[in-house]
Amino acid sequence: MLQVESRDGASHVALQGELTIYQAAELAERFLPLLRREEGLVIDLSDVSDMDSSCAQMLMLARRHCQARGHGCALVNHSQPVIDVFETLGLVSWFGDPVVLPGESGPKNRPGMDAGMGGGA
Amino acid sequence: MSMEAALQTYFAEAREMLEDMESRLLEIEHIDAGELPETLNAVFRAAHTVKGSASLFGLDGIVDFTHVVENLLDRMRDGEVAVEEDLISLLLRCQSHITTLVDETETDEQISEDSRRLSQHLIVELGGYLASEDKPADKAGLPTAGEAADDHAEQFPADADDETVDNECWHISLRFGRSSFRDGMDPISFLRFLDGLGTVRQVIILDDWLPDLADYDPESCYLGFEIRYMSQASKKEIEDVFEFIREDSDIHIVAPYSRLSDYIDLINAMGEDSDRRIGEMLIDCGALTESELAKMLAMQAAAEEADQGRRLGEIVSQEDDRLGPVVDAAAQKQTQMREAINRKQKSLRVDADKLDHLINLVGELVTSGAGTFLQAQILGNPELIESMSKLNDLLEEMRDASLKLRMVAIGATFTKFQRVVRDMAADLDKDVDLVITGADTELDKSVVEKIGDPLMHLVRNAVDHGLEPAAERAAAGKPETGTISLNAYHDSGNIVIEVGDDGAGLDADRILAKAREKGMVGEDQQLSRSEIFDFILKPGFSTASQVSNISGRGVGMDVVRRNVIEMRGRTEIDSEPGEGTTIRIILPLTLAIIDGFVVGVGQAAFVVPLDVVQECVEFSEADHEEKDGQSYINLRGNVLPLVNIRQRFAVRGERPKRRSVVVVKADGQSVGLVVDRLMGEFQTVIKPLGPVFAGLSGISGSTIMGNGEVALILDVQGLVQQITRRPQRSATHS
Repeated sequence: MLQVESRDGASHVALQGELTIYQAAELAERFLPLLRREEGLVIDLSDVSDMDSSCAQMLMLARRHCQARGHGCALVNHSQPVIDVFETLGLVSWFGDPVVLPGESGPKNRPGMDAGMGGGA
Repeated sequence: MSMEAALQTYFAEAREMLEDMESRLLEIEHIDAGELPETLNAVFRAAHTVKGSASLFGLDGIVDFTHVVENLLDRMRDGEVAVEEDLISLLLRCQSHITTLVDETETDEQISEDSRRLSQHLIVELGGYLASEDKPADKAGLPTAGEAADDHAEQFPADADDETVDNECWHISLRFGRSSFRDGMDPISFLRFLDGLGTVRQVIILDDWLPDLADYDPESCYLGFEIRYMSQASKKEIEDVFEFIREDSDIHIVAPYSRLSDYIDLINAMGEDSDRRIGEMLIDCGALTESELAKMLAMQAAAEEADQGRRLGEIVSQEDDRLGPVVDAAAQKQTQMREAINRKQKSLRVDADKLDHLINLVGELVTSGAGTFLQAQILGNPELIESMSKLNDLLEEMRDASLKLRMVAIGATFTKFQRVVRDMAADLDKDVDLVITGADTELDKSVVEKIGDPLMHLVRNAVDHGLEPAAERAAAGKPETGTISLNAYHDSGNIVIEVGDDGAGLDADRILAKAREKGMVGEDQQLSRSEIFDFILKPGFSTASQVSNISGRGVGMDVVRRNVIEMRGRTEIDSEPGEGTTIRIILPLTLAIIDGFVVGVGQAAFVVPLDVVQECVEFSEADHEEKDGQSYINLRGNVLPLVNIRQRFAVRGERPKRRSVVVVKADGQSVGLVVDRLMGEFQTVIKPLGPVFAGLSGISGSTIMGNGEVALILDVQGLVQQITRRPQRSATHS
């Protein structure tokens, strides 16, 4: 579900597999405590095979929480399923992280204004 | 409920809906004009529900096709497309096709190429009806009459101040209820569905309700959306997308080119922290321009001054009587939903496996209850015996009650034939009425499942061969419309299903002649009428009768007979020349229980199904003869072949002095079973044998006796066949 590694003053979290309402409770249990570490967060989404609104909502919470405390919270390496969900929900612009779109369409969104990562604790 | 389980429920419900749709469509041709709107409505609702739920699961193939059907039904409902026979036929074909789509989705998780092509083909045909009626007033898919509220505002004279907004898009404000995720309602599904119905131009996700970390519940939904949406769909269609979340969520839909006041209503209705905030969102997602918003806020302020204290609902209802129909429709919908919920609460959907497990357990319980009773009797404690017998009574009742759980009415199976009869009658150019009686008769679910195919054969044959062509009927002084009747009733522990026609009847002489010709009956053998009629169900006979067409029944009738016998049932045929034929299928009420006759051989007990037992006689070595390894006795002047159960199943143990012969009859052949003891009747729950015994012949199942011992149930049919085949073989050798 997730792997955490702490380096460069930020928690690097790799989310994995299906992240839907069925995993939401467990994900919350393992993921939300990271928000209390008072350091920046880098969330790697490359291995997420499925995501629904409940887990997308959790990422929103993480972003808002970090921002309010002046830490960075960056989403990186969006997998295709994540991109699809973000596009459907209008989250690409909400997060504003750079999303690399596959194929010829090229990057659609400019790098976000506040997606800076690793803002020190 | 997991996704998979939810999907299963969907498939089951979709099939029910489709069945309902089919029967309503068939009704349409027979009902008065007065009832037509109601029926069309029901058909529409069925299609709509199938589509709506399919969209929740992302079953696009079903959604896309059903959507077109639904559109046409909507037009029919509004009286824009006239109801005619060809159209009903087309809709019936569409109904079948949707059923196929559902089936394919369930089994293969995708739709086959053939079905895809058929979808396109049917859509073209449907389009013919949609297009031809479109021309007089092409309102780009907008609804008309009765739904005026849904119409674009541009059709209404605008107030001087209340100008329409220059916006070709719908605006949808969604605030999902907290429990949406838990209810399986993911905003993604709705947004994707909207995209199917039109184009989502812009989505703004709102985090205003997302709480702080401390108050956050990962399974609650805090999301809201403002959506700019381009679609030709009617307001009702868009509203219907959100049918499942209407109760818990806030949904507001503003039509394209709405008046500014509609947006004010929207803002009021959302009742959020700041009007400004929503206003900004409306601008953000392109619903309004800055100047429009400014004008709107000014209007709102003025309105507030004037109408201080008035509640929002009043404002809506007074200012905008166009909303009247919508409110009415909403109220009506709510009543309908409540009714549907009430109906649902009356019946529960339970997995058949769970039910089987329960019945199995209850069977075990009865068995071990009987065992305990036996122990109590051995102990001889009268109090214990009495309370045990009370317990046993309760257990028996419980078993009967749990077996009733499996009972379903046969009506649904019968109704399917409406369609078969209708289609066949059209093909054969006959006028046929199907009369159904006894649809409430209940029988075991497993029987219902197996009886479908045999009934189908019988009904087809009755329509095809049983009923004469209209001209012949007229000549015989009968009404030109033929009647096929389906009837079911209970008869002393059996269920009887009748398929009747009022056709020409069977010609007994010709059937007998045919049977003689085929060597199935001797030249001088005398047969009763029912024995003669029985030939039409014999293998090898039916095909021939088809060719020579002895008023006759067609191919596959022997299959009917075989299926019925497999269910431990039998068939009877009544026929009067000129008056018609009735074929009766007589089946045991349930496949799970039989009345058995218990016999003992050595230490082992065997159960013979009671209905095949003819009589019991004493076995005497003196009368007994053997020829070619087969023993016979003389039973009142008839040769009775014997099966020695002891030898047949290699039962060990001392052979007693006195033995008995149980005379059983199957396939018209009597056979004697030689056994040691007769142990009496016993009602028993059949348990299938494990796969280890799959190859075992002569045994059809097992059961557990009161004393806890296993008894094997004899496959009398199989034993008789082994006997009747053997002498023929030895005859050719000698």
